[in-house]
Amino acid sequence: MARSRERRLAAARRRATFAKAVLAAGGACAFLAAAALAKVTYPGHHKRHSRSLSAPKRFVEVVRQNQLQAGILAPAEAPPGVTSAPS
Amino acid sequence: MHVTTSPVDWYAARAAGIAAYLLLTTVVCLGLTMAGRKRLERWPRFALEDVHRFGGLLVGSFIVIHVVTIATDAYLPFSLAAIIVPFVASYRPLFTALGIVAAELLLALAVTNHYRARLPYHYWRRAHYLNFGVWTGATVHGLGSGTDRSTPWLLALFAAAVAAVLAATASRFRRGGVLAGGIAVAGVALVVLLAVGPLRFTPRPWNAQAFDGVLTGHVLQDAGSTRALVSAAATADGKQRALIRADLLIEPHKLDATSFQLEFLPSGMLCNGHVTRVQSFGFDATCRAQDGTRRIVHARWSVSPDSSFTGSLSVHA
Repeated sequence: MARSRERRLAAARRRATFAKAVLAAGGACAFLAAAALAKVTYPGHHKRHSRSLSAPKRFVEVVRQNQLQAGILAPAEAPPGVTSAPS
Repeated sequence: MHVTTSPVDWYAARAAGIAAYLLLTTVVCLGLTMAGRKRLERWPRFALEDVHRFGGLLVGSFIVIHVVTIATDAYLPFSLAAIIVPFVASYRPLFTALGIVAAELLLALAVTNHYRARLPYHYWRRAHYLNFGVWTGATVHGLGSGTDRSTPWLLALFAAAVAAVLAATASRFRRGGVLAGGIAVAGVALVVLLAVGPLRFTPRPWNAQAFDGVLTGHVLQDAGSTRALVSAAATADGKQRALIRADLLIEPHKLDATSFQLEFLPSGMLCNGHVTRVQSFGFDATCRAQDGTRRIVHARWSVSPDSSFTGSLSVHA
């Protein structure tokens, strides 16, 4: 009688351990599934400051060359060399 | 507290809240099953209590993840005080407060559970009934402030959870069968009514296929002797915010080349293409976005003497 009761208690403990594992696994699965659905639903927020869009480099270069050829824009000059005064 | 800008943090915050709510619902239903007089042959009370207690710990763990990830996300406007003290948060104060109160009440009930053996049974039992308040607070918090609250999948989860708890409550008070089913259906109807009625939420579109907006920008000119670059740069405000820029490379009496860029905000996704038609006060353009989809753009405006302009933007696929 006592042995039978012990067997039933041990089986109940095993079932409880299994149920806890199922609960933990279920929680983890719910977390992962919700994260995936959250990503699909609303992917994220802006992760950098927006900056003004700039003109294509090629366009800017073409106009700059044209300005240089026409003398509208002077080519950049190298700064004068620096010399130290003889002591 | 705002230490990360990773989107993973934001997904984790939302997912942890949902996982905590589902586990809380499971634990509440389990508690209602235990409280009934019906005894299960294969599940003695100590085994059910063990699972119930473990479930409560799991709920607490996911709530901690939910709170910590919200606190550390640099994008979200929650200070430490806004996370701990109800009605301090500026984001949907009532619904956020319900979540805070529910979490703090759950913590208080966990303390009463820990000292259960030292407390009078009737005191502990009455306190334990407050778990219904925790669950109700969590339900309204999720329906009223969750980012995903307008999505069918989350509404279905809420409806299923409400139906399960109401049916279990009806069974607990020996009102099973048809009445429990009717109460569960009423719960589902209540969630749907709240979601389409007072708690209705329409989120801003994300990289919308089609949208209209108000344009504010300026015209720029950079001229050489035989070439000139004329550009229009503007921001578009409306449901979908965006930055746009159109550049025209001009030879005398001829359009040499064009470029068009559109940046979706807040995603930062770019759509690059070219101008298809130039008008005195506007242009049409087409572009291909980074996700491979195509957009056709119409911009019209009126210019002020200082070269700034205001107008309208229309985008469609």
